[in-house]
Amino acid sequence: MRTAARASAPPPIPAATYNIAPGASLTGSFIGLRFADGTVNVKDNASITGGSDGILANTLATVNNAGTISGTGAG
Amino acid sequence: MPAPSRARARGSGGITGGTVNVTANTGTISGVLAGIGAADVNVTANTGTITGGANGIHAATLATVDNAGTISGTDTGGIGIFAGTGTVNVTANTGTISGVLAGIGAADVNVTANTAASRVARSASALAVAA
Repeated sequence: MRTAARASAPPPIPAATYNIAPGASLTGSFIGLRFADGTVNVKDNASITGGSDGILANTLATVNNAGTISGTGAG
Repeated sequence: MPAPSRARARGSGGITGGTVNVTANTGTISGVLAGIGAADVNVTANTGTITGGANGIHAATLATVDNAGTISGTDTGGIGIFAGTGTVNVTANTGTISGVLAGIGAADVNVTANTAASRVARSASALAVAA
């Protein structure tokens, strides 16, 4: 009798930290920055822009913002 | 009176997610629907601007806010901080929380420190909490 192999669950993705440098621009046509669990540091005059969401976190977003984070509604 | 605007928890937001913690904001967070939209929103230090067409902050369950800047819902029916059947706790406000319809709209609203110089404004609804 053959035993069907079971796919193991993928390992959890560790929380990440995203540092957006001063003056930098991060743009997505739909989402600017997407992750499951993370910390985002947006430095002076930096920007994160998405057509729908600037930042989309599936679980948890911790944000320190000194720039601009926007969802423009274009996505 | 216009109907209150309720932003989706996800989509057309500056920041959306399950839980959003803004530990500091000196800049601008904006969305067509909501500046921040999540089940739980914690804003521990805002000296900048959080704005959305429907809601500056939309929390499905709980919003906890310490504000020295501006939080606003700018469209017709807009509400600055909206939590529907949930709770809004404003732990300190020396800035402005405003909406075209209401400054704050939620089943439970607790404002524990709102200075005379600040305002929690609205134009046409008893949902607002006046300074």
